[in-house]
Amino acid sequence: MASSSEGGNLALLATIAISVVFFAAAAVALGYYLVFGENLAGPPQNIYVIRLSEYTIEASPEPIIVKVGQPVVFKIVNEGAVEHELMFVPNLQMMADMIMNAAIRLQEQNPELSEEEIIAMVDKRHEMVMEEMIEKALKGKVEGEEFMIELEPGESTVATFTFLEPGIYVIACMKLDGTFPEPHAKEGMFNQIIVVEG
Amino acid sequence: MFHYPFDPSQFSETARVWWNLFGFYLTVAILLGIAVYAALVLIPFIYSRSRKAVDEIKPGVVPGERGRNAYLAVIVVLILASFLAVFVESYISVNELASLIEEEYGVTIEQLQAGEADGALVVEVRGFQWGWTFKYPNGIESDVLYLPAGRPVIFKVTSDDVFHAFSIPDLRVKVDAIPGQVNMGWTVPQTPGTYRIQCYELCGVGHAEMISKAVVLPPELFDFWYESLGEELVVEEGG
Repeated sequence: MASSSEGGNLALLATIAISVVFFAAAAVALGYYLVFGENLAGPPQNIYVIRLSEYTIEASPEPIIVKVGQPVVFKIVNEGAVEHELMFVPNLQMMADMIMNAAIRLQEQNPELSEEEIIAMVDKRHEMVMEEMIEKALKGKVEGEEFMIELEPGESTVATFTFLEPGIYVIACMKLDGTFPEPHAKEGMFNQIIVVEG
Repeated sequence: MFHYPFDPSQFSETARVWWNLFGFYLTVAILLGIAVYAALVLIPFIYSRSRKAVDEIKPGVVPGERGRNAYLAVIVVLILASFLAVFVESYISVNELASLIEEEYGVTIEQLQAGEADGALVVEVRGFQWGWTFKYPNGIESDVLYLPAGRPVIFKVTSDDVFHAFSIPDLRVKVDAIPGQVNMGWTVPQTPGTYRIQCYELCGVGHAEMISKAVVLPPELFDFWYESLGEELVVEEGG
């Protein structure tokens, strides 16, 4: 009699132990949901590495998701073989067409000049205009030192930005080397920064 | 490399419906689980306290004759009811999805399944050992999948060599890629972002690295990409 009662107690203990383990697992799952379940597309980060190459802008991790009002650090690396830039673009279609048209017009006006010289002329003429345009468009939306960061091959830099309004911001490269007369953006060299509230 | 979202319901219409359905399945499973575990914990207590060996095994007496038919009936009804609830809910949500796609985007489920719809973007997906190629109606071939937000997308999935499975887990898309056969899959991406594309069929040594990315862009940005690369290709063909 005594041995059978002992065996019964053991079975009871084992049953309770198993159910406790299962409830603990359920609690862990619930905790995971409560901690990670509220994010839009993964947690917004404070630091992103942005790689420029022919002809892509890649971020790590992707996508670039940033919280409103929180400073974000971009480490920008040019891994390509030609000069690239990271530029905030208010209207990608318009800007790309503008640069392409300018390049074509300059080439028509000065047929004796080489491609490199025309690229240099386009850069020089539009740098001032574009910088002004971008700063005007981003005023009150983004805080940062520079919205047009140019990098030689192999060069890298660090820039800090603070986004003040939620939405989607476009970064692109408007250089012409290799894709003349189209800017690199038309080959797909652009990316989006998703700014969320929180 | 990628963020891992837990709640995908806002990423695409298909994700929303499947996520809601999963939530319903989970609720049913939790309720049943509570009942089962409560019984598991309580029954040993009850029967170890009362010394009456009611359910003692007696040779020649079947369990049904022990006078507990009501319990058995409750359990059977519970199981059948949970099955029925899950089936009905699945039916309702799939129908909801079909009517939503038809009303909001003007595309019927039949069109989506046939791979021909005016309002939808049709992407030809080709799997190979080990990667993906995406071909668009205007001739762009890309190894990164670009998608417009808020527009139905149809995937025509096939394979060059062995069985693969094309999947974007966050958007709840999964289609088998089979050589010599075109399978349809579809979704309506909603939130711009970058999502993981992965092969879900063991296809060889490089299976684990058969990863690509789906970039969902706002419509105007997608149009910029689509038009500028499409033009380029036409120029190349002409010259």
